Amino acid sequence: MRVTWAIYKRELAAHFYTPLAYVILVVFLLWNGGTFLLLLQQFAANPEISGTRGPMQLLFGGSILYFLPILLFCPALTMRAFAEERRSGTFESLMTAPVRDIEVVLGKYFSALTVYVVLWAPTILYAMVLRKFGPIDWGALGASYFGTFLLGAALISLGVLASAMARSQVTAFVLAFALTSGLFLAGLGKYVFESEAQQAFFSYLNQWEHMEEFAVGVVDSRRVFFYVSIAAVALFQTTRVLQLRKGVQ
Amino acid sequence: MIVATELTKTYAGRPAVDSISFEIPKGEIVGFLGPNGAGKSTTLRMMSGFLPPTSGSISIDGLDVQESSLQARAKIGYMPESTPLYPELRVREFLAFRAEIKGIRGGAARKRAVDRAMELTQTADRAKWLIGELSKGYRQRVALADALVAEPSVLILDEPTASLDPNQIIEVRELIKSLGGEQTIVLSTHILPEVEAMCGRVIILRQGRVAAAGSLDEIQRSLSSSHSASLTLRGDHAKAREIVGEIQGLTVATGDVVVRDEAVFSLTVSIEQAEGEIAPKIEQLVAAMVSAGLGVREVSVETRSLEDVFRELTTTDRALEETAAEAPTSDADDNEKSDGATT
Repeated sequence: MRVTWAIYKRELAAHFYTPLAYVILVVFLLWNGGTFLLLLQQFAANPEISGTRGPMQLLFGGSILYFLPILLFCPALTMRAFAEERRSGTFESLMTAPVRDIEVVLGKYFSALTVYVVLWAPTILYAMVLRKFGPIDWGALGASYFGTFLLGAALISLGVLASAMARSQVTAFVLAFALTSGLFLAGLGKYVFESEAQQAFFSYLNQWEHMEEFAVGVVDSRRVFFYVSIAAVALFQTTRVLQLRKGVQ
Repeated sequence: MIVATELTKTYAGRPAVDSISFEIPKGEIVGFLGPNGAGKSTTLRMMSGFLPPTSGSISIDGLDVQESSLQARAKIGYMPESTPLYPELRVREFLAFRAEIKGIRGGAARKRAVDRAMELTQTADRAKWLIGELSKGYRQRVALADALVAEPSVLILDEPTASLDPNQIIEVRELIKSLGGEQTIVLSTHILPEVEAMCGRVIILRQGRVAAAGSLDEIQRSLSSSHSASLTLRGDHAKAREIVGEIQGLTVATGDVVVRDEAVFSLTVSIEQAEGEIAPKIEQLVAAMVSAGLGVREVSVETRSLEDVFRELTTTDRALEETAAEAPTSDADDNEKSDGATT
């Protein structure tokens, strides 16, 4: 834990030493602000459509506009993690310190996850604004954030794995994006295949559907298990990759 | 105590380190000496636990660096050749981070450890600098401070003086010498005088093998008798020994008379390093043999490969030469003007 904490602190600081985190933060907020604005305009123009799903529900998982920045920015948050250490050679001094692989992996993972949470934090203001105009379903909103956190937790673990496999940040990013978007597209198989078994399988992977559930306040333990197990497997695999990477320049 | 047993590392089938064994007692300063590509860095990397050996093993105080990796690594301060650092951190932050992951608990203890490491390596004046803004010489010394910070019992330093200026080289050598005795120090270099200046013992590597090991004196003595001649002769071998003994500078290498059949035998003659050529000695030897009625069937002169190793080594000491010349040193290359003032 000591090592994980030390690495977590250093990584978190490193995110904010480079301009990348700020760029991501700004673009992410502009993007979500724009999405929110579009939704509000939609609701303002067509008051009759507001049923069970208000603007906050649609903001979370209601459209591809929610998934796109997540699919793009999770790989961007993690691409540095190991690729940069390997490129600069600090990987060698890091791994020859008395540290366990898993401690290093977790430190890097949680620091990226923290930045992800920081990205989303300002969107609570949207709810604060909306509260002035009508009631807010805080339970559903809490579930939305929980679902968003789970999705990020899974995608960031895939990004960390990709970064451990790559030697350059660009490769790490591309590989991570392939993994995250691959997982997302696999879920869309639900709309392609027709048999009941296939439908059930792809529905299990379908993040869009999961988020629509979370957005209306449904927290299904199967979804929690799905995302947590992706994270656990990916992080364990990362430690395996690190074992192989030792001694390879 | 570091023990390596038949340590081998192959890259794509080609051995970089080929079945080397050695023991390094506690408190010694041992230099791995060899030309570039001799396997020095590969050996040190295996010692640090970073590089798994293809076969063989290496242990530190009885802990195998692969099997008991974590405990073994806790004893080691390793400075890789490339002196990797995080450019975005300040020197003090970096050393505090390294101290923390090396298990120094508590802010006060860490501060003490960092202060000590910076003082030893004379980097305290750059404590608040970003590492990315430091000159090469400072970076090298910060990397050295990193290796020292947790007071490891074994220091592994890959080319510790590679990018220092002459004054700094001398300071770092003094530092390393002063640490010996308490700490076991293993370093690598391709500069012969560097070993002379610091190391009690030296292991000379050549093409992934140990070409020689021992104190530098011992090695130089063995080098001075590094020429030998193998002769195949017909006749009485007692007579042949006698003739060899009569010629100054020649001795029969002990136990090296091999009788092949009734009258034909071979013997190996060591030729002491005389001034000048060894060819006249050989001529003299052969002439004496022939005139004593012995049949000379074959003569071959061999030169030990160690001499080749030495020839490939850098034998000039930049540090000593430049300071001897009293040249204005430090402000020549980069922004290390403050170092010039320390001389």
